[in-house]
Amino acid sequence: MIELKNLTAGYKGQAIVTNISFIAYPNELTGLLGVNGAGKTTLLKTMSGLIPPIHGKCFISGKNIYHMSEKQRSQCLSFMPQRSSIIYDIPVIDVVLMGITPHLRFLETPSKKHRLLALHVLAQFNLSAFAHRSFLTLSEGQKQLVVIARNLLQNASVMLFDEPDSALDFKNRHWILNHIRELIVKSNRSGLITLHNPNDALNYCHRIIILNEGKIFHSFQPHIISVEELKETFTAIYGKITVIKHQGQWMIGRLFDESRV
Amino acid sequence: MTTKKDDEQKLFFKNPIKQYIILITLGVVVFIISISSGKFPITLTDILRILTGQPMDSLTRLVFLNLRLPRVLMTLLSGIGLSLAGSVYQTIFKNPLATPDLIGVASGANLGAAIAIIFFAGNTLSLTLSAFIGGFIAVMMALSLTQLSRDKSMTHFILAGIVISSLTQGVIMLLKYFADPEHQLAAMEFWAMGSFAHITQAKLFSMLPFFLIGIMFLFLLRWPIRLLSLSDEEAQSLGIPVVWVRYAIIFSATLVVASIVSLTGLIAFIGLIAPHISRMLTRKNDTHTFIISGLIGGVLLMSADTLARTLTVSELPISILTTFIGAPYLAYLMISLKPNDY
Amino acid sequence: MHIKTLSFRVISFILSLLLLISILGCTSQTVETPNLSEESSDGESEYNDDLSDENSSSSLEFPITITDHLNRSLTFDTPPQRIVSGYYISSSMLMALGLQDDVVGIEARPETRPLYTLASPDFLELPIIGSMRNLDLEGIISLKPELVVLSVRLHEAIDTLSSLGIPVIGINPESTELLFEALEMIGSITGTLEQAQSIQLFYEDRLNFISALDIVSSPSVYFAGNSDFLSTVSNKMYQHHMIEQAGGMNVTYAIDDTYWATISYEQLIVYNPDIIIIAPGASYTLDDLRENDNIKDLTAIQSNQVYQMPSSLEAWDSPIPSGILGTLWLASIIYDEQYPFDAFIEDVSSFYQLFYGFEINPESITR
Repeated sequence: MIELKNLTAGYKGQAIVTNISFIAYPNELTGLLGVNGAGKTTLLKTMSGLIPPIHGKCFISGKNIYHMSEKQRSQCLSFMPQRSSIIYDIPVIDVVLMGITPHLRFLETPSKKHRLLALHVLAQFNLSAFAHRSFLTLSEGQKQLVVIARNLLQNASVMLFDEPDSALDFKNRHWILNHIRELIVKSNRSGLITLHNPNDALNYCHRIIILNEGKIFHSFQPHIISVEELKETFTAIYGKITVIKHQGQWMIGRLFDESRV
Repeated sequence: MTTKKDDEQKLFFKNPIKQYIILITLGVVVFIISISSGKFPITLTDILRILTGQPMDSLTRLVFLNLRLPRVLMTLLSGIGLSLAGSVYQTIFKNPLATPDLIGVASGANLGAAIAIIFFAGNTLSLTLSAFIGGFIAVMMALSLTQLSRDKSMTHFILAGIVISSLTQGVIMLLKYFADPEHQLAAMEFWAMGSFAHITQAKLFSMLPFFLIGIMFLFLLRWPIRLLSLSDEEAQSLGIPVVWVRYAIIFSATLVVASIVSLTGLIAFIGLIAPHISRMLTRKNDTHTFIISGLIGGVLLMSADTLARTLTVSELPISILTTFIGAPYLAYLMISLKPNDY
Repeated sequence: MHIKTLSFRVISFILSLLLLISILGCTSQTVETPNLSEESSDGESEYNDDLSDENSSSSLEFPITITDHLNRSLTFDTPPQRIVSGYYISSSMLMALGLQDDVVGIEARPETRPLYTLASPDFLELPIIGSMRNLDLEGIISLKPELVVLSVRLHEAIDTLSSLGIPVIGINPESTELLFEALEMIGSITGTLEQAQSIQLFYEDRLNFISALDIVSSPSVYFAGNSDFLSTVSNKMYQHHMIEQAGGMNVTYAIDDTYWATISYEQLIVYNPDIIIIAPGASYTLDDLRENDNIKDLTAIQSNQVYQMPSSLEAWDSPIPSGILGTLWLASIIYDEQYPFDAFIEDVSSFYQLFYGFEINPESITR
């Protein structure tokens, strides 16, 4: 579980999000939604300790993450960036193996035992056949999955994902989001994901927090919210929309004027 | 999910044992050829007799132990060191062009040594220390310059390296202008093109501690080095205190480079070619790849120096040979590499 | 292949390297430096002492100890008969002392020195031992020299060679006095001290002659260097002294913060020298100067007082044994009627006849 208390975050003293407080619970995937520039990524990066907060606290299991070292933080918190930054050929297994770093002693290198663990995680994602292939030869979806596997190896109780679907096509987007949701639910972890597509948030997250102009606009649970409340909330953010529930799934569509050409 | 068909050949990673065996054998052969080549006639039998302590013409023994052997060892160590440093810089700066020459380390070390020659009468210890400080500051400045610039891409990184190199060259030119042509200028001149002609036993011993310490540190830091091949964010989120670790790595790599460059001057391109070839051969970028790049560099430089000593009547500066191998290779890379193909 | 065994192997590699190096260190310490007297099988070990006069050099008493320009002392038991010369200045010195037959190794590109072709063509066949920038230490040692003469700028190489037991002296003939010290150093151990002293007498004689000449006022002289017309000398350079000795006044006498200095056209116009001389090895010609619009108003150009030191024999603007000829050449220009150019050519002829043993071609001496 991760709890934010009055967190104000930004760059060089300029606040982008102010006074954010919420809790992301275990076994739940919490979605951070908002338009571009609302501050989702800034908030997420601050929550993972990558950017120092301007003000406020962030607790995991009762401890303030800003009082922890990088290593301690990485043991209880994992962060998945939008895009992988790998430029040299590297076997997939080695990418996953990097996730064991938080658990290595000073100057220790991974052992056979750690390698087996990494293989095990790859197997969970049905990627064992790719273990010794070059990471760069995988499809975008597979690459994202490998990075998730790496994060899993950290064995952190809180997992943060920064728009992991942004580079993926329609099919792969759902594939990844599904994997993430399954992962969180089955392993008792708390998951926090930033998204810009409200439909994805509605369909995969147990809880949604909407950011607007640097503050929390609204927070709700998709499976218990009413249509009216949903419509009201989203209209305020996205303008003219229509809300449909079809076969148990929410869908938001943009309403167009008759004047549209 | 399907993989791209044209990358089929990259699928499997070779066992490095075969590569080690080939390289070490090649290295031994080149070493033997190298120690028996030179203007002073020394045969292999002579060498065997010297090494087993049998009676030998004292001058031949002296020349072999004081000049020939230290020189060849120095070329081997320099090749290993510059390639290792190149591999490390290319990994942590996520830039396949980050070689000791291009990022400003070598010219910074050059400047450090020039200052030592002018202000501290250039004794070997002050030379190495000065070269190290110069190299370290140069890298730090290039790094800061890139961080400060808005575009943190590779292009700007190379530009930063060029800026720092140019600055240091400018200061060196200034120093040369005021230097005493009797004593100081000659010492600074030989730097520009690199040479192993002045290596003696004493000099080899003096650089060895710094060299070995640097290599040892790099070896101990091999896992953090791998992690720094990711973006700073990712490395940090995996528990690496990026800023400190990067300083430590740059410190160690620069120690290696400075210990070499303070004695030999600038040797072009080795830190570029060897890591590239190694990555091509091993198809990855882990510790084995680094070590293999060191071996490749060692063999290359030993061969180059053997040629430099024997091809022409007077010695060719070593950088001429390495440039004639390295520059075309770099051109070939520029033309043939696809964007993600390093 | 696992990381753990890898660390073991790397550590053992480093340890074996250290082991190899320490073996090196041990074996080298047990070696003695070779004894000079063992190497030279020829040569007399003792000369008779005819005269007790110090200035008489036909008597040589070995062993002789000399001090070179790096303040190192060397003792010679016998005259060295295998000599290696490190650069053109020492080569010229050895020729002037009549030692050319003893030279076994020479500096790079001897074919570019007209003097060698004229007076000592054997030099062109000798093994090359490198240059100032790139000295071939192994090459020198393989010639088993009994004396190596190098510039003091190569003090590192000098240290290395002497640590291997090779007799090497460092010379720094940057002025006439230092030139004669160097000549005497070599002369005293090779039995040619008399020759060295005769060269000095020639200098004294001609310099006395010059200083006795009258002139109303010293003309101002500008010396243009090899690479560029605007490159000139400071007062720390040999050429400055050469000008003053010849009776001229160096316009750049005030420059003292560097060695070679590059000035601007304005500066030169302010100097407005009476005479312009260009170095023998200049990459430009006298005609280039005459056609240069920027300087057409200079006094020297207008009155056609521009001269180039001849290069057909040696470059007289450096401290070589024939350096006096550079001074005399300029003196002949300055003292025109009192020291006509023909008289100068005769002096050149005598010098090379006496000390280098060959006839010059008078037409190759130009101004």
